[in-house]
Amino acid sequence: MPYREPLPEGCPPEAAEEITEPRIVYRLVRHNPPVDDDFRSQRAEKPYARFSTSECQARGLSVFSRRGDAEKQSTRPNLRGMMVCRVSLTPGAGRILKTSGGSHYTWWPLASYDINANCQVDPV
Amino acid sequence: MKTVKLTAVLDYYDGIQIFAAGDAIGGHYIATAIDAVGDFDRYLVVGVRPARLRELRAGMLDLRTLLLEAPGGEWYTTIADGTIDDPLTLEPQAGPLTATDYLPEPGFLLAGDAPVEEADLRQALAKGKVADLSGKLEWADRRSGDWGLLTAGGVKSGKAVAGGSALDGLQIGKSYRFRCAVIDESDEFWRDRQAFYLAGFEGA
Repeated sequence: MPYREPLPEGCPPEAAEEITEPRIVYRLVRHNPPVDDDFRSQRAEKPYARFSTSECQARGLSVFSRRGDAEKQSTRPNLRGMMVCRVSLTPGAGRILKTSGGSHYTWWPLASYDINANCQVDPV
Repeated sequence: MKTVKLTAVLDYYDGIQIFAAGDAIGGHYIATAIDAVGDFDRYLVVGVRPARLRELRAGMLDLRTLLLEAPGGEWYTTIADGTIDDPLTLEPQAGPLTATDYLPEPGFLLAGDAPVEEADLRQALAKGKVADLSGKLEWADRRSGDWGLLTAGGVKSGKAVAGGSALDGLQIGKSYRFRCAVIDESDEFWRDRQAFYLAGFEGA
């Protein structure tokens, strides 16, 4: 099954778990209702940037398991004004791995997964 | 021209948001993303005392407070147009930092490491990613869910998904056999690590 964005070899890493049961994660978005552009990876947004911990992570999407961690990000100057989207991940959503600190996860969505239909922007 | 190099990634969201850095003579710095110049993120950078940096990393100090403690009010910006191993050139800035919109809102604390989700635990157990650890309980923090077991191979530390309640009934100094789910994670430099999550225990 192809991923939403092209990934380097060995990505997602073996440690990333296939999503086989429902779970909720949170992501910042600029639009309500969310649009495809809200789910572009760091690499898709900034093709020439190389200031990253790994190319694989740069091609995944950041999400949080704790809503508060997502809300907090929106108080930072470069992310100010963004809204928190509650994303329902169900089997077929792709693979996910706990990365970095806090409740941060990196998610590699499958191309067939309809993200917009599973993302609900709630009032902060 | 002063340069610094990244020493630790402290916060990540679709890119490096906050990092610690050091200069060639042992100075410590904190950097936080403020905007982008083309494809490259631009960061606000200030010098910090090591003790205050430790407090930030421990989630005990507000990021805005630390940024406003810049020695002599000196602050810089840098554009990250290389890799994380490349030196970053600091551009000195004039005027008070408070007159800019580069500061985060008050109350921004670095997040403590959260336990993985119950779904991760169930998947690990279903796949047989299990470790049985036997030894004397060295510590068990009911607030954070962290624990440490002194085994024949040294101290093994782990977590409990449900927090403190999973540790109810344990006594420090007593010997136990812990059944743990082994969860794969990555640290801030994308190094693999394995974490032990308590799934059950019995006296040994």
